[in-house]
Formats: sequence, C-alpha cells, structure tokens
Amino acid sequence: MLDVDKIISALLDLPYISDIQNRKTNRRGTEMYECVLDCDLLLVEKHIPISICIPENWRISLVDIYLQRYEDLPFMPHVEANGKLCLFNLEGVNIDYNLPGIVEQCVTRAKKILEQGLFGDVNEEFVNEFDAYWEFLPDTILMHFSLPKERKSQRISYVQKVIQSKDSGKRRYCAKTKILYGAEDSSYFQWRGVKNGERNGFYCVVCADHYILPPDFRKPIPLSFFNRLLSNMDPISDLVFKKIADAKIIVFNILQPNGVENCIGVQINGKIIYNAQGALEIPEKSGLTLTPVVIHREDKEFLLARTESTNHSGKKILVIGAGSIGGYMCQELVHTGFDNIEIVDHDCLKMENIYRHLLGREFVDWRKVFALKEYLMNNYPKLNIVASDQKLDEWIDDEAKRVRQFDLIISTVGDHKVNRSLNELIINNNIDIPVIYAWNEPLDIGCHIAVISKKYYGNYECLFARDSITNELYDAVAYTKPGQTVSKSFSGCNGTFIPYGSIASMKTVALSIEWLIRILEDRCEDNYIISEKGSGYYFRKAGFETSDFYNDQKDTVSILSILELENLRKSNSNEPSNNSGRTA
Amino acid sequence: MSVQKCFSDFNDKIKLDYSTKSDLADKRDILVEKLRKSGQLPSFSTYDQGSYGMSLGVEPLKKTGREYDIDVGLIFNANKDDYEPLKLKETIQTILNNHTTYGATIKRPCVTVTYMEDGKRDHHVDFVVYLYEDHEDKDSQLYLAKGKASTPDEIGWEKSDPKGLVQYINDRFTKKEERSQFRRVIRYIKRWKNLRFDSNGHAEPSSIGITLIAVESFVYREGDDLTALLDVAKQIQKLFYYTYDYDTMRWLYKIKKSMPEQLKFESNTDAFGKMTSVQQNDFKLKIDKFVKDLEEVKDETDEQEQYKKLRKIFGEDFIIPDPQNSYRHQNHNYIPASSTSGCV
Repeated sequence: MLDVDKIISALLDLPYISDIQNRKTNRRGTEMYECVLDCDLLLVEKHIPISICIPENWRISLVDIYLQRYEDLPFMPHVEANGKLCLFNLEGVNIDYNLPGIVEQCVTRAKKILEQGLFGDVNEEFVNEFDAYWEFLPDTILMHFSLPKERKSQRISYVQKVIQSKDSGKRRYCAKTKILYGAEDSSYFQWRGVKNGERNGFYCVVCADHYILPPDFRKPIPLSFFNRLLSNMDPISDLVFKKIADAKIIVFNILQPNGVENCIGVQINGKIIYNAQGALEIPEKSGLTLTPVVIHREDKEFLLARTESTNHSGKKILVIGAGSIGGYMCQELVHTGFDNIEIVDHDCLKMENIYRHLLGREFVDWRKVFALKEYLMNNYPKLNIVASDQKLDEWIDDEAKRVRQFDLIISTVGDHKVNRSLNELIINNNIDIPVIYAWNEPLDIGCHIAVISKKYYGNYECLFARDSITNELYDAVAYTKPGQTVSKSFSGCNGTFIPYGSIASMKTVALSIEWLIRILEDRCEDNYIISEKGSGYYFRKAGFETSDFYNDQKDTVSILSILELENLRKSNSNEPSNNSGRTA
Repeated sequence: MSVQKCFSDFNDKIKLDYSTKSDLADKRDILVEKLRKSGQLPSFSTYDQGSYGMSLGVEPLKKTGREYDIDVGLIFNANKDDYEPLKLKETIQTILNNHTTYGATIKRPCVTVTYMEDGKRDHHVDFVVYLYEDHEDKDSQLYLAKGKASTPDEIGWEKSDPKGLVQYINDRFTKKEERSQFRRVIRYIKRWKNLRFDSNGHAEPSSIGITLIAVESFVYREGDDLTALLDVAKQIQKLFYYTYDYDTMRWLYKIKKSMPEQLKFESNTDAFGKMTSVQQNDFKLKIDKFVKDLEEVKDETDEQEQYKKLRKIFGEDFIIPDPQNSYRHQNHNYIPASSTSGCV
C-alpha cells in the first residue's frame, strides 16, 4: 500500500516544490496511477505546475512527471506531446527501492530539464533526439527505409503497402493503415517481400552548417521548414531533377554540425521546383498537404550499429559444416557484420536435427547449406552467401585453389578426420589463411576451438599424441577419459551421434566468434587451443569419466598456445619440455 | 559526544562571523564614503540593521542561490516631506552604479550594490533610505523610502523604526547564556529555512518574522538547544489559522505577525505580508514537518540515529561525530547513473 504521506513529506523537504495537493482522481489522461500529486515547481522566476504520478509498477517504471500546461511553455527537449517529461534512460539501470528518494530524484531531474529548456542552450539536446520528436507529430506515415550507402541526394524508389483491416484486427502492425518502403535499389523490396508499384521518391542530403532543430510538434509544420531543408542541400543534376520533380515522398537525411544524423520524411501533394534563387522548393499552393513521414532505417549500417561491432563487410569467410555448430556459426557471423560467407556441407537437415539446429521443420529434407542460405538471405539484408553441397574432400579437390580467396576458414564439422585433412591441405599447399576448428565435447563437459595459422608455431596435428605404451594415437585435449564410447545410436551405424544440447553449440560459436574477431583485428599472436569447461554434471551422471586434461583445468576457459600444450603434455609424462625459445 | 555538543559545533559552522567577513564591512565603508563625498546627498548617519545588527547571520548556502549581504540604514538629516521617495534612491543608484561590474539596483525597500566573483554574483550591500518627520528632532518618526519606478503604485513613505526593532530584539535577553542560546536557535531555524524554501521572490518566510515570534516565545533551556528550538518551532505552528482564500478558492493556512506595538512602524505591518496565501500554506506544511522531525529526534533513543536525523534536517553542515556512520543523504542516488546512459 502506497504511503502518500511519506512521499509528501519528502517533497516538503524540497525548496523548489510548492503547493502540494493530493488529487482525488488517480487518472491522468488515459493512464491510471496509484497516486497523483499536483504541485508547482519553482524555477528562477517561474512557477511551473506539474503532476507527479506514481504508477503501481514504480519499481520498474519509476515515476511520471507531467507538465500541467505544456501549451504555456516554449517547445523544449525531453518533453513528450502529452506533457510528460522524459526523465531517465532506464536501459540497464538498477534502482534503489526507496520511493520517497526516487520521487525526490525525479523531481530534481525534472527541474534540471525545465531549467535547461527555458534558460539553457538546447540545440544539441534537440538534435540528438530529433527523430523522436518527429514521431510525436500527429498523423504521420511510417516508412521503412534503407539509406543509400553514399550520402548523396538522389532519386529513390518507394512502395506503398496498404494494411487490410483484417490484418489490423490481428494487431500485427502498430495501428498504421499505410506503410511505405523505400530504397535506392529494387533488391531491397524483394528482400522485404514488397513488390509492385515502385514510384519515384527523393532522397535529399542536407549538410547543416548550423543546427537544424525539429519543428514544434504541437503545431502544424510550416512549409518553410521543408523549403529550408531543400535550400540547404547541394545542387543536383538536371537528370536527377527530372526524376524527382514529381516525387511525392521526400526523405531528408540531415547531417548536423555535431555529427548526428537525422532522418525524416514528408509526403506532399505538390511538385518540387527551382525558385528564383535557383534553389529547390515546394511552392505554396491551395490545398497543399504536408504529411510527416517517420523513417525507420533498415540499411545494414544502421542495423549493425546496435551491436557495436566493427564493420567486417567484405571479409570472406569459409564455413565448413552446416550442422549444429555451423548453423549457429553462420547466423552469428552475419550478426557480427560478415556478409560474404561460403558454406560447405553435403548433409541434409533431418527432423531429428531440429532441436539442436538453427533451422526447424520448414527446412527438413533440404540440403543444409541451401536451407541456411535461404534462411539468412530472407532475414538479413545485403548478404552474399554461397552454398556448396559437395562433400568436403570433393570440395577440397575441386576448390583448393579458391581457398586462398578467403580471409578465414572455420571448420565446424567436429570430426578430427575431416579437420586433419583440412590441416594437411593447408600445410601442403602453403596456404597462409588462419583456420578455426570448433567442436563440442559430449553432453555438458564443454567445447574447444583451435586457432591455427601458418605464421605461428604448431598446427592441428599437435592436438594429438601417442600413448607411450601402446603408441595409439589419442586426442590430447579431449575432456573424455580415453577408452569410453560416448556416441549413441537409435538406428544403427548410420544413425550414430554424439549427444550434446543446443546450448553447447552456442557456447562453441560464441568462443569462435570472439577469437575470429581477434584474428582479423591482429590481436591473436600465436596458435592456441582454447577449451571451455562445462559442469560435467550430466556427463558423470551418465556414468562417464572425465580426462586428466579436464580434471586439471582450473579455469572455466583455458587458453594454451600449442607450445604450452606440448610442454604440458611432456611435463605430465616427464619428458623434457620443448624450449624452442618461444613464449606463450 | 552529545546532541548538544553537535548542535554547538553546528552553530559554529553556520554562524556568520562578521569579524572574519570584514571585507563586507569594508565595502560598506567604501560605499558610504563615496556617498558622503558625492556632494549630491544630504548628510546622513548609518545604522547596521538586519542580521548584521543583531548578530543573527548564517553562512549563506551558495548552492541555494544565496549570498552574503549586509543591510545598512542611511538616516538622512532631512524631512520626508521635502523629498520624493524615489529621488534619493535614484541619486544613490547613480552615484554607486559604476562602482561594481554588476552595478546598483533600486528595489522596493532599498538600493542594492552587487559584487561579482569569478563572473558570478557573490555578495551585496543593501542601502535602506530613511528620512525624518522632523530631522531636528532625532526622536521623531522615521520613514522608509519605498518603491521603484516600475511599480509606481507602491512608491511612498512608510513609517519605520529600524533602531527600535534592533534594540527590541537585542535587549530582550539580559543574561549572556540566554541570549547566546536564543541566537543559536534563530540560526538553526534560518539554516533550516534556507534549505527548505526557494530563495527567489517571497517564498521564504522573512527572518524578522521568525525572530519576532522567537523573541516573544523563547524559553531558555540550559544545555538543551534541541528543546529550545522545538519550543520556538511549535510557537510558529500555533500562529497559523485555517481560512478560506477567495483568490485561490481554497481553504488554506495563513499566518500573520504584526510588528510590536511599542515600535513605530505602520500599523498592521505584517512581517509575513509579502508571502502569498499559497506560500503561507507551504510554510505551515513545512513547519509541521520540521516539528515532527525534531520530535522524532527527541524520541529517538539511539544517539547515532539522532545525529543522522538531525543531519537530514539541517544538511551537511550538521556533522555526525562518527564519520563511518555519516549518512550522506544529499549524495545518495536512488537511480544510479547507467553505464548505458542516454538522455540523462
């Protein structure tokens, strides 16, 4: 139960709060609150009436503060159309469950926002949130737009999609009846699944010498706002002008002086002409309508910016294997910004794969490589995916010369035989391309990746040793104790598999991507075996034993150079270490 | 360490020591000399009024927009009927205008000379202009030159008794310890006032109003500033009355404190008269909370908790003896800065 007296008590301690009144109604507009307190916020020479509204879920949403009469105040940043102040960015923030303290801090923040808005320089604040204020304009149209790579005014195409009422009824879209899609080239519309009826639009780049501020969303946008933008753009050729003169959609890409880029649009029912001063403008005419268009960018540059990853566009990656690890690997490569991938695998996706594969029922019986290609191309823009459904050894024979075109190779087959073949190919052909070998251990005991480059000491073969007594070849980094059969089969020899969950593959992929980026950014200065240990609970429960290599590993993730691995092995078998002068 | 000791230390921290702030007095003297030498004014005597004259000053809290100030009465050897109220103020303003970067400003009760430091307002000297009914009789009624050009309706002569007022307060307590405690209590209330009320306009209750209430209701409590303070706060509470306010069309609390009858002020001068009804209502709510918070301190059995509560009431200058248990209320973030912060 909310203790309103405690909140009022906290407010009474604030010198800039006056005339606190507890409203009888707990409704504010369409929102319901536990409590609404009206009061005056005292700024230097102004009394601003505000409402402090406490929601039931204040532990998550904090407190809302509204201006009671926003219409009496100038347009200012951090205030929404309904007068609500945008107080804090709550993304990733943990708060102290002290409601009076929270109210106090919110009010203090509100004061700062209003002081800044009334007396301070707000240009940068406006510009940084320009697009958000544009969305507050009434009666906007939504446009999904793939920004041209080159920031140059040009003709674009757009397609209009009208949402049928039955779709709106299913609430698949956010209360819009018309949605636009725009791009410089038609492949975007195909990718987006919107075809037919492409029309000419105008993409207009405005390089602002002085800040261009958003218009006051409480008033109709004046024509002069758009004409000011048009007058600030660089000249266009006659050819471009002919194409855009009748354009009904103009997308403005404003490059502000502080480096911020704003993207807004307008739909007009007029023409674009050259005025007497030689600048483009939309002439005033009777019946002219200007409908603001809200731009949601869908160009790859913008979408990838959320991941904060470096642009890896153009790098060519070869992925061998399109199974559990390979499928997730390809998706994460795309997520990381790689857009040039070749996938090699002969296998088909079966129903028994779907619980540890990226792809599901719709792709069963497809060749995995083609399924992956289809999935990725349908869901991510501007990819170049090459799918090869050959067996690896055939591919190697046919394509050995092509291997050199790649920047990095990832083997996800989890098969030492295949990996050793690949390793041999690399060595024999003197191929200077780094290779990541990634594989899962059974059940929940972990995974490994080996990072091998010709530049550094060692290769994939160094992961194997021979038993000192039997001379039998064994995997020196395996987590399973030798002599156990961990593979399973539900349908005889052809149905044999190593049991592990989907999460195991995801961990392997996460490790691989991290090291892939290190390699491509020249932050990997040796050859390594990286081993991530799982808990092993289900492994031991199934009656299996872990190896000395697993048991001796102290850290969850062990990073050993190949040289360190060899020395470790030798010290465990009391052989002299390899002191070739290399340090890990 | 005891609560009384903490109060005593608090008093030392907030008390405005005019001997160490002698630059204020120096500036006053320079300005007064300038006025005397200008040859544009009748002769006058000066009188230190306000908190300076009554040793009740507290260190101004810069973060609340307050400044050091000194109030100087200029008692001119002239008759009020021989001058327009604004004339002398305008002359003073002209003489002193270029003395500082910020200049001199005519206000309703005075002419203010403001000094800057590091480009910001730092302190000011207020000159209050008085003329006699009959300057040849120094006991005759004094009149304050009231008003400024922008509010012509307020321009006029107002009966005033600055010396009488200071004397009335200073002479109330003859015993040194009583007077000291009285002054400490006034300072505590002033510091509380500075923290809880906005410094702009008339939101903050006038210090003279508080002082007059305290003078009449103060009871000396040997070694117990907390109880003495609580007594005065409760007396302030009692002066409020609940009434219907026709301007706001609401029931509100109001307060009125007239000047003592024996002093020669305009009748019905209300020490809180400049506050609006809403501001007086705010005063009531805040003084209620002040009393409640002080009573909680009194009822608290744990000494450390008492110190924390008092620090919350009086701010950072109220030092808690054990630094490890310092309650840094003012710096506590209930909504920490996010590492992924955006608009904040």
